[in-house]
Amino acid sequence: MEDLPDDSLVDTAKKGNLEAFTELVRRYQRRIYHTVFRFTKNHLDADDLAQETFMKAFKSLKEFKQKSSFYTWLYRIAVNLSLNFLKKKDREKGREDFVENYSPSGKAKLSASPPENYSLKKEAGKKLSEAINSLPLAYKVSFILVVYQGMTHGQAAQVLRCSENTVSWRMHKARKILQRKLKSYI
Amino acid sequence: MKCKKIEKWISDNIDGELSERNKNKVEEHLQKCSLCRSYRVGLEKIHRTAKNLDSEKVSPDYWKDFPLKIKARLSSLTPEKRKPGPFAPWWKWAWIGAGLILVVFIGLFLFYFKAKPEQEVYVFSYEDSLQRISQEIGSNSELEDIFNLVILASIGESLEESRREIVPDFFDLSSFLEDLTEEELIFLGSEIKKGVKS
Repeated sequence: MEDLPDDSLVDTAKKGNLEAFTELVRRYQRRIYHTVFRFTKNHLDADDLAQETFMKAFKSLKEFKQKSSFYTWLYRIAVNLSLNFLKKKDREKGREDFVENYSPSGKAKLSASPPENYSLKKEAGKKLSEAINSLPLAYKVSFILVVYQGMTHGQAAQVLRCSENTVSWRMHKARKILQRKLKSYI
Repeated sequence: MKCKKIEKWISDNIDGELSERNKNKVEEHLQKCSLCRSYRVGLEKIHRTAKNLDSEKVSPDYWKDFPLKIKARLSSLTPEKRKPGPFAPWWKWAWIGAGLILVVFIGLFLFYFKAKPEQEVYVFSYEDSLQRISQEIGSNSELEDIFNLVILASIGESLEESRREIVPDFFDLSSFLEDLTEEELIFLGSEIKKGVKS
């Protein structure tokens, strides 16, 4: 199984062979996990999303026409699930923020002082991480795929079902936003 | 060259997506423009820092167990659940077929059972009848004879009956006569006279 190319494994898995699909999981688990982790920022949610990605991939395998690579198709599922996750989390966060800001206990949290003894480098990293998190979703996804996953604009465009030029512009805009937000750190 | 274009090309260059020709143009521009130079330095620093941002450190056991977790979850699915659901692509043909059959049935139903347009209610009128009879008779002498013999004879009979104060139930003679033109009345009168004589 380990020597077989993705396409053969996909064909075998389509017939219901779990071993073939498990081999595909082994091949892509790290990349998928690290991608979804960039969205979720915590292990538990990343683990959930990575599992859901593979479960969904298996259930939808018969719909996969193999026009793109299995890897691109799998990424598409992971990115879509991550985006849904973030949208859901944003809605929940909106409710939590409301409770925190307008309840007596919440006000106390706002006045708490930030932790001290951060090294400048660590602080810059933290700020960058926050700035990336606050990017508009479309820019953030492109940034994660290109910078963290090392995809070319063409590969990211395939995953996101848009043109290379769109990815290129999103990267440019994302960088401009990051540069503006991190002016004092760079 | 405008700085905005150069900024976009600097971003493309960091991703390794800029052509050699445009790379040279960027370098040419950077020699003259300090703002774009510091912009590039900033972007490169952001890129490096982002690349080095720690990802979650996961134990090797996690990677060993992960495929087994997926396999266990898939094994627990019943064969029915592994099959594509009613919205899978090939099911769409079944839905399309069902839709077509439904459309045909509705079409047939409407074709056979749709409300027929209301037929015009024919209201019997002596005026129309007399007019039609006159038209028919106008060009046919044979019909004229029949009219004289049969129809006028029956009118004569009706008149006689009316004299006996029996109102014919099929014929309201007075309203019939009221609606006749003067010519028709003269014609009718002369014919009746003939009939009475005979």
